[in-house]
Amino acid sequence: MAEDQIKSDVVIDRGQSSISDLWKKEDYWAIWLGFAILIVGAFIFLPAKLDGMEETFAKSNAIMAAEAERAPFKTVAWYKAQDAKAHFKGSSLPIAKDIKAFLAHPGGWSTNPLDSLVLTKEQAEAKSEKGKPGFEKAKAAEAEALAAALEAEKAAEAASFGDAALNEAAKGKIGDWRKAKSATSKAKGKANVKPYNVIPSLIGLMVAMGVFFAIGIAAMGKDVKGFLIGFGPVFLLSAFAYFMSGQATMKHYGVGYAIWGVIGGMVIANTVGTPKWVKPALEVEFYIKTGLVLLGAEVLFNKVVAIGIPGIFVAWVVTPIVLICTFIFGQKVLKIPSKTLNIVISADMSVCGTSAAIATAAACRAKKEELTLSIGLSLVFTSIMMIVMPAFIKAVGMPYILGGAWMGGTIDATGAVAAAGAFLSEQALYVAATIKMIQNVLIGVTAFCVAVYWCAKVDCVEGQKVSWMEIWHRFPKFVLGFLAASVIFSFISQSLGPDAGYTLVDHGVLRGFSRLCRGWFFCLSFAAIGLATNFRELAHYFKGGKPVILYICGQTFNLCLTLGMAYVMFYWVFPDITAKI
Amino acid sequence: MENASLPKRWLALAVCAFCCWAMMFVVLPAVNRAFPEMGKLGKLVEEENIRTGMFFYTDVEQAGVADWNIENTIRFMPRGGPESAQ
Repeated sequence: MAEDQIKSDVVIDRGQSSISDLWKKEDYWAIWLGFAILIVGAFIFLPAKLDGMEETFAKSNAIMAAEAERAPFKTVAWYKAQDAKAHFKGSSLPIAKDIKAFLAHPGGWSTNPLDSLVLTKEQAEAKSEKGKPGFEKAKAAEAEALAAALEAEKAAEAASFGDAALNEAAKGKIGDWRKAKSATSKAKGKANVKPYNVIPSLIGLMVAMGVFFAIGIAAMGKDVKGFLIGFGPVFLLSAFAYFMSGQATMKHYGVGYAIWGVIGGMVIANTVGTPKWVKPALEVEFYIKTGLVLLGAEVLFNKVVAIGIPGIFVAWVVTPIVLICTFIFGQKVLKIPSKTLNIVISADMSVCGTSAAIATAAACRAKKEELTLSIGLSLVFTSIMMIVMPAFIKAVGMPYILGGAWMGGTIDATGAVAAAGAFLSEQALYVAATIKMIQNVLIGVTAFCVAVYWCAKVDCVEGQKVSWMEIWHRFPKFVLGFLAASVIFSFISQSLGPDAGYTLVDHGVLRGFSRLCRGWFFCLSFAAIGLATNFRELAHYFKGGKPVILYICGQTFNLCLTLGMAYVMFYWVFPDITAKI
Repeated sequence: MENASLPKRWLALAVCAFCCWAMMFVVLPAVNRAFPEMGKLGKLVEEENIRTGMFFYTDVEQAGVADWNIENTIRFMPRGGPESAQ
């Protein structure tokens, strides 16, 4: 009984290897179910033929190469060629739109909660009518900005691009045109509002996901009927978490579905109590592992070189140093009793917040309270840093690209990084979001290394030598599914080339399908964690405030090291890249 | 709470729901109004429709746009003009 209790508390259970594990163990079922989704996605998106895609890519690339040789800055023709390529996206296929509608979660709202679920035809038409004047105005402003940009570019060309002042003026005007173009795109969205009703699709999705996970539950010999009965409330709580995270003020502060799932579940569990009939559906580990296999496909290794060597140094050199130093600091100085809590907080803070916390917690068998605590800390500090860092950068007059790289390497959540970057400038947003993306890719390496270290060093008696077979027995097998998905999709993306890879993998299989499923799976796991968590148990892990001290000390070190590295890379070693972004 | 009576437990749930409501519609909007920078950031988040709570790069549309722009810049890095001719 006591053993069962310990097993249900950890994010992942201990594996014993035998051939029957393939159809009896949760880790393998997470891999089978995750890969089933990825294979369906690959069959839908990869063979898709988008009319004129290859021709447009070839033509646009030729234009961009020629323009890059002609001028010392990105010209109007360069940008137009880039836009022509971006027009092709797997997610714009008709079937992708149906998938998106089916997997849709409650959307944004401000004061009327119904806006999140339903928008009638009349309401949509009224909104569109309201948005039309703005769209017309934005179109006119864009045309005007384009004319000014072309004129400035012509003047710079007339001086054979040898006049620095004319070049800068042209760059400025082209930047204004890009801003105007972006404004038109947003205004177009407001002038073409479509009606929606997510309630029927939510009901359908609840049934589909319940059946999907029930396949694994049945194969593992668990209570299928109990699972299906309890799944409804867990799904409803997940939908509620999405609903709450879509509220305007919550978006301002970066309070996402993860924290709402945990809070919502904990409030229920610690007040009226989680009903007994819901408990068979609280399959935290199963949802997390399946979501992580899908996340693996999104970890594309070719993204590491997206911004060249500076990005690799800022994201892939600083991050492991901070992770290891913070872990050692937690063990040697703070003497945090739980190594799993220490590593989960260290990974959460240094790598990329919630996603790294989930992957690390699963890899080292952390307890669900430890994961909850790490995510809570991440949320609080992300909200603070998202607001304070851009304000500080502006106040001290730090170059925005340096500021973007700094924020990208230190703020935990990608959404918060994008908001903080956009608050400075478009270039800062690009650098910040790209650095964060490169850091996201580090999750795979982190999870694998933590899993191996835990099997070989932590989960054994001091001085005991662990054989490779023993490591294999103990190794969380779903990590292999995670890595396999990462390697396979990185290979597919790489072999398709940067343009087709972006269109069919990044904006096809991944953004158009698997990440929507993955989002729901993680949301289910957070709701289940909340429903199974006791406030008192959580308070026990918080004793002495050591987790907060660890986070603050680690983040301070991260801030200093990232800023130093970003400055050296973007302003000393590679100023050319910085100048052209 | 396990030993409390059912009405007390439902009352606790109602109090928690009220706290969430107050945080969402009273406390945090007041913070936005008190700190102009916070209000500006909130407005930007609304205008750009940035999903700030999302944690992975594939969840954030702006990260895709950033990746696309940076990747193309690195691939087709402008190097023209008289300096390159020399």
